[in-house]
Amino acid sequence: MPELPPAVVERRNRAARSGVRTSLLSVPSAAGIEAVGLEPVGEVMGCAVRSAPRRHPMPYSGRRWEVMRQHGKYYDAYSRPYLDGMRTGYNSVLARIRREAKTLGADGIVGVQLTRTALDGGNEFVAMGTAVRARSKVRPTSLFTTELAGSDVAKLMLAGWAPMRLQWAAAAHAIDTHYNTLIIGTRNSLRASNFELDAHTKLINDVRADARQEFDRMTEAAHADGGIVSDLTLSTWEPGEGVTAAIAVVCGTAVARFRRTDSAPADTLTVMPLWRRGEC
Amino acid sequence: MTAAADQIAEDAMRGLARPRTRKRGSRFTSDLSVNEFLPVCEAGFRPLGMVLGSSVYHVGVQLGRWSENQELEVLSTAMSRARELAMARMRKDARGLGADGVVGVRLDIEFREFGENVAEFTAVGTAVKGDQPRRWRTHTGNPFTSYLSGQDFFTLVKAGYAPVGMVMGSCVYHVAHQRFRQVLGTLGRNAEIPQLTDALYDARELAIGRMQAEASALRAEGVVGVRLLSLPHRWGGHTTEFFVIGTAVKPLRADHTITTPRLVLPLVD
Repeated sequence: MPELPPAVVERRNRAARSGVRTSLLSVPSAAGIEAVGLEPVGEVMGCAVRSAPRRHPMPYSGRRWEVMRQHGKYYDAYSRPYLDGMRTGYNSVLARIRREAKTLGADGIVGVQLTRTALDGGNEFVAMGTAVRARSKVRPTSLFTTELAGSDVAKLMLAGWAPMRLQWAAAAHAIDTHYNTLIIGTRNSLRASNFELDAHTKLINDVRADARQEFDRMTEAAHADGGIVSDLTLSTWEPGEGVTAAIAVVCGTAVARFRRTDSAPADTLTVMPLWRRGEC
Repeated sequence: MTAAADQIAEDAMRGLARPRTRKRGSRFTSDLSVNEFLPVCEAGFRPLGMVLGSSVYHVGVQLGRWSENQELEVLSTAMSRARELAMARMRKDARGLGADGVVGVRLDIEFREFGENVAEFTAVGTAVKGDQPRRWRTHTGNPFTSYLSGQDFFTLVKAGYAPVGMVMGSCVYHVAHQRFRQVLGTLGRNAEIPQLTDALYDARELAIGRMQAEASALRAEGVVGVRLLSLPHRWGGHTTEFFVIGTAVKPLRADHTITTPRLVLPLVD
C-alpha cells in the first residue's frame, strides 16, 4: 500500500479545515509533554489485517529415531513462518503510522500502543498513538516513535534523554520433545524426582537471548545510547506432534542522551505522598 | 516555564537531528521503567544491560500424609534449586557484562504445557555499574542482586546502605486434613483450630529461618523489603509453598543519615 488510504486522507483534510487537534493522551500525559515543549497534532493509526501465519508448516514425518538422536537441535522450519508473520505485521503497521504522522507535519509519536487481535482466518495488527510536534526551529532527521506515555517522555526529556525509536524484536525456535516426553511419561521413578529439562531450558534461554540480541542490534543500528525495555514476553505452542516452539518478544524504546549537564532539572525530591493506593 | 520547555524541545530535536556516532559496545539495554531508570541513574549507577536466566524444571511428586502436618522436602528442594539455577544464570550474564550489581530483579514461576509438574522459573533484572570500582560488589567479588524497585533502591543508597544480595527461603508444607471428630468438635463454635495454626506457624518459621541463614552467609546487617507469600501453585488446597524473599543490606558508612522527607499531596488517584 504505497499511498495513504482514502479514509486517512479525508480525516487529515477534515482536521486541517477545522483546526481541531485530537489526541489520545491522558491528562497527566498532555500536561507532561506541554512541559517539555511538545504539542499534540492529532491521533494517528496504522492498521493491517493479514492472513494468519501457518503454525503447522509441515506434517511430522517418520524417522522418529533419527530425530530423537538429534534432540537439542533446532527445528526452525516449524517456528519461522509464525515469527515472520508477526514481524511483518508489526513492522508494516509501524511504517504506516509513521507515514500518517509525517503527513501531519509531526516530529514524533508518543504513547504508541501495539495490538494484535485474532480475526477469522487472520490477524489484525494495529498501532495507535498521538503525533506531536516540537516548539523548535530544528527538526529531527527522522520521526521519533515511542510506546512510552507522554508523562514518561516528559520525565526522560527533563533528565536529558530523548526517545528515538520504538523497537519490536523477537526470536523463535522449535525443538523435538519426544525424548523429554518419553522420559517423564514412561519412567515412574522419575515422576517423583526433581530434575531440570535440559532441552526446554536451552530453548527458552536461547529464544530470550536471541530476542534481546536483536533488540541490542536495533539499538546499535539506530545509533542510540541505550534501550529501555517495556515488555518482555514469552509464549510457547506445539506446531506439530512432539514439537515444542517458543517465541520471545522484546519491545521498548531506543533513547539518546542530548544533554549531560547538571542543569537538567532532574533533582529528585525525597517526598512522602499523603495518599497511597489502597489507603484512605 | 514556556521558555524553559521550548528550550528542552529545541535541545532534544537538535540531539535527534545531529548525526550520531558511538563506539560499539557502549550501549545499554534496561529492563527498568522510566520511573525506575531515572532514580537508578541519579544514584550514580549506569545501566549496562538486561540480564536474565531461566530454568525449566520438573518438580517431583510427593504426597503428604492425609492427617499430618509436615514439610514436603522434595518439593521445597525443587523450588529452591530451580530458583537458584535461574538466578545463577542471571548472575553469570551480569558477570559477563562486568556489572557491579543487578537491580530490579523479578522472579517468576509459570507452569507451562511442557508436561505434568513442569514449571519455568525465570529471573530478570538490569545489570548496573557503580561510580567507584569494586565498592559495590559482595565480599566474594560477585555482583550484588537487589529485589527492590528502582525507587526503593535509590532511597536505600541515599540513606547510606548498600544491597548485598537477594535472600530467600522456601518451604512447601502439607497442612493436615481435619478428622471427622475434630470437625465435629468445633462445628458451629467460635474456636481456634490449634492444629492448623501450628501448621501455618511452622511453615512460615521454616521459610523465614532459611532466608535469615542466607543473609548471615552474605554477612548482611539486615534484610529489607521482605515479602512473605503463600503460593498454592497447583498442589490443591492443603499443600502450599511459603516463600519469603527480601534484599540483604549492609551500611556503607557508620554515620548514615536519612533525609527528612517533604510531605506532598498528589492530585492523582
